[in-house]
Amino acid sequence: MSDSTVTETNAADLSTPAESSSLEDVAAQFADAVAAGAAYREYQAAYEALQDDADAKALFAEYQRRSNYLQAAGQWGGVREQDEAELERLEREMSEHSTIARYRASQAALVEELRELNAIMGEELGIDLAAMVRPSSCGCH
Amino acid sequence: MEAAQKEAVKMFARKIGEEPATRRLFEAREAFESNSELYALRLDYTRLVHDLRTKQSEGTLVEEDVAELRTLEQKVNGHEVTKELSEAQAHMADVLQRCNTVISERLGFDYASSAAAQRSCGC
Repeated sequence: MSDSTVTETNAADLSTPAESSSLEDVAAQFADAVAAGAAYREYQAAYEALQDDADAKALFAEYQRRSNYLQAAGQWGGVREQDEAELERLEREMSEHSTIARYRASQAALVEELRELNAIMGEELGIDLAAMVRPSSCGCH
Repeated sequence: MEAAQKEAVKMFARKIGEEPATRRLFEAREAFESNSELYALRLDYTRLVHDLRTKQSEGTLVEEDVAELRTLEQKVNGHEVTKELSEAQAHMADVLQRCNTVISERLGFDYASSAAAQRSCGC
């Protein structure tokens, strides 16, 4: 094996995926790096625990049902005090439920990590990927 | 944040930076900022908006003022440099959307929605 062959082999080994792969490949590699991280793994585990916890799922579903109802009622001014109190009670119950609390905490940690990654991308590139891609409307109107 | 993720996002940013759509966007941004004719129009527009707000608060705003603003707005938006910037932004958004689809499919949720900085919609 000649020296030049060794040099070429080493150079090939050192080539970054960014040089040899498609944009979609590199995007997939980025997603895989996120998925391999502790925050994502904890989020997945917490999500699965939530799916396996019938009590938590029922509480979550009830909260979302009430929350959606209140949001709709708010549009036409039909929010009653007892509806708000009921939602607050459910919110308290959820925050005290270990499976839900774990899921929410893992979700918040993952979102924070994703925002940090997006901020790094913004600094490196000068483009905010998330802001350019996500819908400009919040969907409220 | 883990080192592997930091490296992956930097590599991803570098790859996006190599895309023709990115170069086009940066050139369009540069042209938008440096075109003196467009700069003058934008300055006029900003001044007019300010004047019209003052008139509105004073109750002296007339239909002609609004028409003047609309005309100026059309001039700014219809300027070749502005149109190129809009098209370059749309092209870039398409490229990034493709990436977002790949990432979101792998993660199981919409990446862009989660990664975007928190923003109040004001609703």
